[in-house]
Amino acid sequence: MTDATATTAPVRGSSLGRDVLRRLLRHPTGILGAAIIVLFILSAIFAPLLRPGDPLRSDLRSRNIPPTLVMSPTDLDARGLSRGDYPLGTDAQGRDLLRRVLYGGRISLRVGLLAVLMAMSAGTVLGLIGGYFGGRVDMFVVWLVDILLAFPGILLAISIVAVLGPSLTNALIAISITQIPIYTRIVRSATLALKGSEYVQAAQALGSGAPRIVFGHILPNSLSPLLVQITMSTGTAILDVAALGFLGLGAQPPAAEWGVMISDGFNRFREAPWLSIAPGLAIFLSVIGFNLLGDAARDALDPRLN
Amino acid sequence: MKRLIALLAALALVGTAAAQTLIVGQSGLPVTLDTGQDGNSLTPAIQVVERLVGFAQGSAQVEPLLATSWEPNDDSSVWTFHLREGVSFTDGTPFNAEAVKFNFDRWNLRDHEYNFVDEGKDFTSFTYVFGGYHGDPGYQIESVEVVDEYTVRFNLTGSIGFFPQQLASAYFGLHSPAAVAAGGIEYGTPSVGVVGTGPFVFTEWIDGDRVVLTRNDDYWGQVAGVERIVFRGIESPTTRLAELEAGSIDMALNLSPESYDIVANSSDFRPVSAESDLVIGYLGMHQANSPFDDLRVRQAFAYAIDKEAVVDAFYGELASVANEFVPPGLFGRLDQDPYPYDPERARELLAEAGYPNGFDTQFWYMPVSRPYYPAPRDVAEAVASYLADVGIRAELMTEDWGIYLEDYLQGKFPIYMLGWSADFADPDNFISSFFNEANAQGFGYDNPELFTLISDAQQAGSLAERELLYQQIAQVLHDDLPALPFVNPRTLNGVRNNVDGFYPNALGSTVPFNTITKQE
Repeated sequence: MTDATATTAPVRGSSLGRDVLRRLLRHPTGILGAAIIVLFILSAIFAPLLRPGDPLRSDLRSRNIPPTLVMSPTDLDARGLSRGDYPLGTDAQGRDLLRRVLYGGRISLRVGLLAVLMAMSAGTVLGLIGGYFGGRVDMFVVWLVDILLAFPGILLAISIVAVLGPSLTNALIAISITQIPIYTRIVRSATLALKGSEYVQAAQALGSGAPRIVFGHILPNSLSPLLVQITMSTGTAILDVAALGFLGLGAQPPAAEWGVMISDGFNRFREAPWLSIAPGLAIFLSVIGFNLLGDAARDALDPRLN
Repeated sequence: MKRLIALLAALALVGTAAAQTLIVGQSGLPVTLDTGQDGNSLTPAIQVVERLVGFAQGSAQVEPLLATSWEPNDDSSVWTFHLREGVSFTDGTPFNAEAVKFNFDRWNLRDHEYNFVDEGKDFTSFTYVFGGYHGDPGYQIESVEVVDEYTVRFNLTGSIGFFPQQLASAYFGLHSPAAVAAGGIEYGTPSVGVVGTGPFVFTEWIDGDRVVLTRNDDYWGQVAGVERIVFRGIESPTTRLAELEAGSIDMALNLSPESYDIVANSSDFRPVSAESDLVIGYLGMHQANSPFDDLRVRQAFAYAIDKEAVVDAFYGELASVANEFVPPGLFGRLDQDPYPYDPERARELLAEAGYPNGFDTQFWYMPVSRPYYPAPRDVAEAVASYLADVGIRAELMTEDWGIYLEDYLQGKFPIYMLGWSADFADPDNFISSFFNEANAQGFGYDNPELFTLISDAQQAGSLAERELLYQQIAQVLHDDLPALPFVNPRTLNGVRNNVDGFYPNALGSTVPFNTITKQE
């Protein structure tokens, strides 16, 4: 019986995978999204090479310099700067904004991905258990999910951080908790649909235990909606990390975190709009990258389009 | 035609009435109008209730207000005040020695019929200035005596040479005894308001929105130039500036010093500040715990920070670097700069103290903006960066302001920022507020000799003697370095060009507004 599953699964998987990839590549917005994400991941990884130096160190001699990228040549001369010095400008502490935005990508992407992975793991297990065992167990799972869904995500995250205390780690925990019910619902409904399928019945007849059936048969076959959801909610998670940072509940200053940077610039928007614009654009681009890819992935994985 | 004229006349009236209303934007509405402790409460309150002793216009020099003259006994432990005659509270209650005694007894005596402190009234400001309620350790006012209708005598528990300065503090506006009795515990709240002798009369207080005062046309002094004042609470300094710009407020109090250029370059409004403010911001170190128990570490801390650069960056033209705890404008200063910026020296001192690679610690910054630190987070980030340069790696932390003010005394903060705006114009208000036995706990600092010096300086008779003692205190503080004096800021206010006559003094914008006029 191990042979049977081992030989059929990879064939199905690879053909599906190839199919999906082919359709994803036909999707221009999907390619755009993927390109943005790859760019962000690379720039986050190579931030220390792209912009060497400490993103936290203040230099009060170079405060509030507007972006040299768009500065007029006369201004550049007057300040004795060259175009590449501070492409995105500096903040009130005299820190290079490009460096901080690049390093900020490290925090946002890491926390965003981690939050989603944690939520997915917990949510999937809950969904599998509820869907497979049914009855009171399922009622409990549904009850839990309903409670979590009753609150708007960001509000729930804020309340959780308020209880745990503001920090980046607690923001990560809070965001992943708010995302658990999404995964539970997806996996539970897939499980319910697959529970009665012939191959599950066959596995049961052959005497497989619940863990083997759930993780070996049901989970692999409910992966595609999960993948779409992961892509989509990474964008949401990045946005939530920034929102909590902005509210002072996530990363703490002087951290180079996009939300913290926007709140730094918030009170100086009149005098120095670039302080908020640079991290704001970074959030916008990374979130839209994940959303575009997520949209494309949903289209590509939608069985109705087969 | 007649109706048209009537209509035009009515419109003209509305026009002038609008012009006669002064709208003031401050960072919040009052907490209470009855003996509050913050500027947002006191600036409106002081328009209604007047003190015995006031200040000369734009200065911190005391001058007569409801008292016309006063004299101490030989050792300054008994002070006699002669009151202005023929003044009455706006509810008709006569102002006399009985009324003065009623007010001070109400603050001082916990068992007074209208004290209500146990029921939730807050006269903390009284205890700040006068050492506590009657019977508390360190209380200063023993009793208040009615000598005759217009003479009142204060019997103190010891000598206080600066008693009139204390009375001039904005906290001690005198309220109508009849109104206090009628209002009970609700006196000073939005529903009841307050009654005094001042140039304005309390009209309404719409909770969460505005406080409205109307001119007192029977005022004993200079009748106010505007008919009404509306105080609005606008939390963000950026929003206050925007409203000033839009003309929806006439005066914006306490703007961010970083806005100085915008205010100074405007053609519609202008910056107004006192010549100097009795305000100091400092950085505290808790020396009861390691590593700040080591003087060398505290000195390294002082040498590590370029105060000049930080003050320049975040206060602009409106502040100067502080090198001692008594701000300029008061006596008892050494006028020296003992700890210049010297990161090399800081590293050496840390190495000598056994921290060649530095150490990790926490730096707690204020969650709110105050005159001494209008942008606390910016200052904290810059200071932390200087500290990191010499190896003091400080994690920035903050918490709710109410808890912050309790926790710093408990020694929870290895490094923290805090400051002080004077209650009254005397060095004692700074030195005692930081370093008397109770308050020195905030630094984990225990120096009985200093505590003795402080109480000597409080009670010394002559100014020369006091000056010498405060200089000795300054020297001790310089040597022991329990905290680092950081900045003497000045408050920036924005005033529209059609408004004149606003003279904030060294104690803030808690000044009478009867001098203010507004043109159409």
